Amino acid sequence: MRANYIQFNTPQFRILSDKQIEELHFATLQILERTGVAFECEEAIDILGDGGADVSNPNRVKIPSCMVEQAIRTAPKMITLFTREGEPAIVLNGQAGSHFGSMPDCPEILDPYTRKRRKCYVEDIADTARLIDALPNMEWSYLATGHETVPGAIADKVSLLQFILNSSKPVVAEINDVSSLKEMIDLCSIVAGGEEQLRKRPFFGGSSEPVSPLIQGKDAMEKSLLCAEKGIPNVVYGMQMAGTTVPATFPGCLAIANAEVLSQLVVLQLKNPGAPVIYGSILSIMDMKTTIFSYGAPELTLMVGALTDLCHYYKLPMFGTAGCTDAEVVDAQAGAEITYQILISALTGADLVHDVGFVYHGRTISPELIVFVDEIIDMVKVLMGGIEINDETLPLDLIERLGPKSNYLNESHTLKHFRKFWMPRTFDRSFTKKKGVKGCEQLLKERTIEILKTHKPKPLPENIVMELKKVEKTWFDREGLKHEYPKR
Amino acid sequence: MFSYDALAEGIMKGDTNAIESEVNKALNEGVKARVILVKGLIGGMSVVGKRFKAGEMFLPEVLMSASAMHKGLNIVKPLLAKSDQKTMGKIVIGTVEGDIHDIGKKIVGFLLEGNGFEVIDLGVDVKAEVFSKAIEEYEPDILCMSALLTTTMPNMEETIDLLKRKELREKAKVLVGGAPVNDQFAKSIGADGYAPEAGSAVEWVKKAIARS
Repeated sequence: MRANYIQFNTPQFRILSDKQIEELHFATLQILERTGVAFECEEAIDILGDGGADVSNPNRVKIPSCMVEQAIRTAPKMITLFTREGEPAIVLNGQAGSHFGSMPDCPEILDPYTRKRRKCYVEDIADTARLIDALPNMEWSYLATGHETVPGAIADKVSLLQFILNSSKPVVAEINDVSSLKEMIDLCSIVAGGEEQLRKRPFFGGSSEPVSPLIQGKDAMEKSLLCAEKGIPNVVYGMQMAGTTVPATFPGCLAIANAEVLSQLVVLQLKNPGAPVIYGSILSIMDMKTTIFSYGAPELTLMVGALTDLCHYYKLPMFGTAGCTDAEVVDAQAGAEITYQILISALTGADLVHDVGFVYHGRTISPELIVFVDEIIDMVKVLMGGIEINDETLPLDLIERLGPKSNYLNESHTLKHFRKFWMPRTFDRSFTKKKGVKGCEQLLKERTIEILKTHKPKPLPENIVMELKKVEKTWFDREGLKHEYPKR
Repeated sequence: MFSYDALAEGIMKGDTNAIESEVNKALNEGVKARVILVKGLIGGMSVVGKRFKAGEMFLPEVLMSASAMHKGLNIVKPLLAKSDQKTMGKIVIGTVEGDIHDIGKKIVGFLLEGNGFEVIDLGVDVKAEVFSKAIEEYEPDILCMSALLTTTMPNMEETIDLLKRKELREKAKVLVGGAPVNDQFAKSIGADGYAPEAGSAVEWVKKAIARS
């Protein structure tokens, strides 16, 4: 028996104190009320005007704090993402831990066979989707419009279709424009068994991006409004670049990021109170030597972590960033950067975490790095499991019984518990190496290729696949293209 | 006494006041405007450019230097002969239609200005017609276009096609850039060049203008 005893089920970790969070919150309210945000979408401006905002100057729409507080109140505090088959997959509620996801459709891929960076093809999207499907710690995927994998304006939809065909896991997509979003919802409705079913058990979410500083562009807003109207989960996140598009200091950067997301949240909650919105932002620095937006900077992890604290103060689900690197290849730098990010992300509990597998400043996806991160997440899970203290885990009677000069190897207590020790799937712990050392990078390559060669995702019913392909053909027809993908 | 060292030092430090006084001193001492520009100001900036490339100076410092250089440029500019004004080169720059991303293009613009070029920034969401009108109106040496979105990249091609139709394509060289853009794409749409980042954009422009 224990009395007045509190057990930490997980490590405890915060970047910001309650007072710091409040100060950033009030700073944000001041920016929204006094500085204002530029809106370029008529419907959003009308909604804000009707809701009580000062829209006399669309370049500085001023939103009173009561509207912001109201939007935070009506936004859902829990969002569930489902599998393609309609099974609950991920709960986003600020306390269910980090769910990591990758992105199969970067402009370039770091080919796991040749280890060379090259253009990404539709087949690569399918391959990486299968890899994500196979890896236990990749729980969802993000898509980034398919870039130039097929000509014309249909690559974002082709990319989504490839993911759906090759993985059961939930998917969030960047989308070219609102008409593309409509077609994506139609496509996913075929899989879900109707739009109503998709709304009830969403395996698909949209995303839209404010532009820093403080701009809500027309296209992004229109996509967001459609998601809100349809009740489809929608990630709202900006990419603030400290020292260029936002101040070079962390609090300044955080306040603007917060203002960008909350000002969009106000519009969406007015449009449809209760519309599911996933709060986010990738805040990083511009590297002042190279002018790149850094995906490996410790400042990124610190600021995204702080924003997670702020987001969870609102009890909203957080869209985080981890598992990516500035390195061009999967090397020691990559290993250091991803480990640091995954650990802090898990400790802050960012809910839906993207960008696993990015190398070379977000331009390139590396399947090997995804496998690497999957292993790191496995290790971090051990840490997040914390230490539970009870009579079984603190076996004083056993220690007493065995005393000094004994060993625990033959004990049934050891037999019962040792299986909880973490076992690497990819990393190597072997002791004697008669044939020489392979090294981590070689092991990652071998495991990646093995999964790519062997993993078969759960197939969709044949009639659904045929229907999806029929829809795909209409996109190609409309663009005047032959219904085939450019060859790898 | 005016000294080139003091002028170079002022540019390096981004000290606008020092530049103003050194340039005025030089003029009072009878140094020709053209010499002040080429040897003093552009010379100073080229050292800044080299130090930036070597990782010894950082972008915000370079921009401070650029704005100090501009202070000096504004003083000597009215005194330059027409032909000398032309040697600096003129650049029209903008982010293409449908794209409201500003910062990358702005950095390129700042650095070009800092290197003594005249930069006309058309802003963001710039339609092909607006680019083509700017070519007619400003007669630039170089047209720079930026896009951050895959979806807006085709508008670079559209602009180039419009310039061809209006027989303006030969009037200016075209340089493209932006995160999703690459060399291959630049070639495929008939641009003259591609720059992966701001520093190489400046180098490309310098070479292109030197050749013409």
